[in-house]
Amino acid sequence: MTTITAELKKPSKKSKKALVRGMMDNVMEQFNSAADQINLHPNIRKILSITNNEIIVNFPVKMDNGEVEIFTGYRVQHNNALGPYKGGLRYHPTVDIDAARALAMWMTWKTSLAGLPYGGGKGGIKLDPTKYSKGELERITRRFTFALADNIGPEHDIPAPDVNTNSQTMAWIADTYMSTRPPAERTANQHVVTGKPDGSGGLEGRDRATGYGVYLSIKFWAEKNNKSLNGKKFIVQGFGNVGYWAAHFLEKDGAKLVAVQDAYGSIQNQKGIKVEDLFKYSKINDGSIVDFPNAKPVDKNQFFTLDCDICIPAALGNQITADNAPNIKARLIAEGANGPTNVEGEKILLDRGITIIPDILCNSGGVVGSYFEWLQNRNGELWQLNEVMEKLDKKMKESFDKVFDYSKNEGVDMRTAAFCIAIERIEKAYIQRGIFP
Amino acid sequence: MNHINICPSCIHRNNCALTMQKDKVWSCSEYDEEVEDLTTLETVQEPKENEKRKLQLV
Repeated sequence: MTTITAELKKPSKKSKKALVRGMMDNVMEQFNSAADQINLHPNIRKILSITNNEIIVNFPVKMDNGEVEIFTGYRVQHNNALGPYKGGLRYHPTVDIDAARALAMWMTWKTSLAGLPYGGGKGGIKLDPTKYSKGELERITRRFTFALADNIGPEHDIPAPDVNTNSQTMAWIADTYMSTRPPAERTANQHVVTGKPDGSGGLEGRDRATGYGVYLSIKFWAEKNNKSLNGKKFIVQGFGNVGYWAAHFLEKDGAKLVAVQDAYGSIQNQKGIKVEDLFKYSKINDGSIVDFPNAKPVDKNQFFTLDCDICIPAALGNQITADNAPNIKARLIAEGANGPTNVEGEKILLDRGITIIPDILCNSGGVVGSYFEWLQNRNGELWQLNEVMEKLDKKMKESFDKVFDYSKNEGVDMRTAAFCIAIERIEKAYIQRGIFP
Repeated sequence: MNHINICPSCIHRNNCALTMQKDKVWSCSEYDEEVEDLTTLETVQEPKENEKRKLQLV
């Protein structure tokens, strides 16, 4: 076994820009806290504290008006001890190397906890997509793919959709990447991206994978605590893909949706809101749940304090804070969104004996779905929906049980347990393999 | 301050009921942007009614 004995250097204050405080600091804080908990080897802490590769590409694209514009694209590859880098590509004006770094590191923990043979990566292009035509967006995507060249690949780094990118974007990337391969190898490279459209190697059921994973996490928690979901009241913040599908499966299991909040407003009915009725209503009401006939409006600031057994924040971060945590009625928080509970809010909830199924576990159904798509393409298979759901069930159960048992055995909360398991798995790989040379 | 912030380009930015901290959002399931339909197929021009009739007569 290789042993590295150098001391950890203290981070240089000079090199730390004030602007990058925030997300990267949060990710590092979570990492350091878990690393302390498991007494992570200092050398492995050093390796995991920084990214493996950071690729910045400036590439020209011909615009519709004949002018050429230069774009900047990023791909950060944090760690690949467990397998190819995996993570989304976002198109947004705020994309930069620091944003990609934090999100890539987060992906490393997420794929590790999910027990997938992946590492973590993230990237994107700094642009505002509203300012470009569909033809321009296609050329930007294809040229970015060409610029990244062999820095991505089906066995090396596998991008996926993120903010402002979708299955169409992935189809363009796959097509461009495959076109750069020798003819006989082209079809063997379809799994260079996941999140592709159904007809182009995409996974059946990918739309519901995250929401189903949220439901499964709740179900497993109920089973571990000898509770039935039948008649349990739940509230959902966000009625998009995650919130809707989680509510759909919970209702099928006998639970009762009593309140929903989306970007337009909040509604409540303690007697129950039919999930499918609300979904159909939102479709014909420009995506909004407001004024749903079988419910009453609720003050948006009261939403999380409504009477319920289970609370599913499935929209955005920083929603459960010191302000509302003391008044939350739910006994279980299932984090469908990323980072919905802040540090202060979490402390209050844990002191009150409320369980939190952490985001890194609870919403990991999406990345597991991506893994299934990759496997399906790699093996030349086409999986049926029921097959996908069964496999997802099995994979989520494995992760949940590990986190739950670790949490019980070590006397820590489930979030700490999840991070410890994720980091220990990577540590084990480094210990087994050693460091080259 | 968090420099990752997707709210300014979201169509709900002015009326969003979810958060007042619109400078801190890096991920949101309600995020939506007014982008053109990315369907790449071109629209097929339907023949006008009288042209259709003419074709039927021929």
